[in-house]
Amino acid sequence: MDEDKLRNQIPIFRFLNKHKWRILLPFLLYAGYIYVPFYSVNNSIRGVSHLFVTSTQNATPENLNQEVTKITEQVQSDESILGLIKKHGLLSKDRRLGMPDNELIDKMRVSMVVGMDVQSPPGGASVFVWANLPDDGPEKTAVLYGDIISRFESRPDFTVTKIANPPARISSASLSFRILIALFWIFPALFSSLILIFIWEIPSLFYSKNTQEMVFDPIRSDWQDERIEAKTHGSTIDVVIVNIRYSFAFIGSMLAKSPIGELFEFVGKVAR
Amino acid sequence: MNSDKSTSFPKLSGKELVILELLISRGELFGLEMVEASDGTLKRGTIYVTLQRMGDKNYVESREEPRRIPEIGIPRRKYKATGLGEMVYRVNVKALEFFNSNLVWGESN
Repeated sequence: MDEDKLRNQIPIFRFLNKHKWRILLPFLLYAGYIYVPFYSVNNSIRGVSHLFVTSTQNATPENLNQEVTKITEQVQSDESILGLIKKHGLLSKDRRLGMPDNELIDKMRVSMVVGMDVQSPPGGASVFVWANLPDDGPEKTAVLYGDIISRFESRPDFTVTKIANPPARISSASLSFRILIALFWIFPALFSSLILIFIWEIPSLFYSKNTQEMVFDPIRSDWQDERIEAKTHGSTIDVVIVNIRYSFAFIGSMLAKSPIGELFEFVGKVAR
Repeated sequence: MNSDKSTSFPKLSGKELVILELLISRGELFGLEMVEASDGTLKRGTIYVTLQRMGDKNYVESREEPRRIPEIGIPRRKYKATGLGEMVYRVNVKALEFFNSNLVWGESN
């Protein structure tokens, strides 16, 4: 406690201690925002299945590609997609909500891609299966992969080799993307922190000491009390509600004590 | 001077009336207690501005209530009605009663 007091005597520490949440909040929000696409990128990379298909009948690469393309197109036909949804119980949440079949097919078509890899090595066809079904979980996604892969495996003229690891180029691209984004989000987060600190400090910059003591300090005091109460007896949502409510109260008071607010008060008084 | 007195009847706004009513009936109160007791008439964002203006007019007075030992943070402020505030409140209530009774009388005739 004494150490805290001592630390608070140094202006920069006092400033950081006072504004710690206003500095951290934008960083946390930006981090949360960025985490979401990272999660889906990681999920997709884990979800990609690669196959290498060769022909047992000395077919030319063109013929092999044509045959593989036919299968991929067949997998993505309306009937096939609807069959996959029903067979594996996919998009369960949307079906429970009564989404019609044509919309389910459209959604599934966006969530699942079966295609030829452009990096196809010579002498065979490289196929990738990608699915992103966050509501259905990894088990159902794995079963879906198995079903699609079996359509290639069931062809007697194909030899199918599963490539367990996703190609390195996808991983490295996502890593550089991460680093790039991480560098980029520091600046907007810092800028947002400065804006929050500025808003918080407006009362001490532009309002009299009397107004600070009579208007803004009591609001801060109530804000603190209600936040502690919500933290102790309520949930996180309650704390968020208190913070939102008092942010508006704080801004409302600043407006009411601004020249515009005083003008409104004067007009109201004259009208009375 | 006399004419001054006759024209400066201290009319209270709706919020000022509610605040004085609460302070007179319940004694010393915190701002948040008044917000909670007013059933939505008083808001967190405007009550302290109104209280400050009422303080400038000497209708209310306030003092800082220090926090008890385990509590930390900004001290809370407690408000009470002044003698002038109480008098202005009663005058306004009487005026409102008179106005309402005359309005009823006027309508019924």
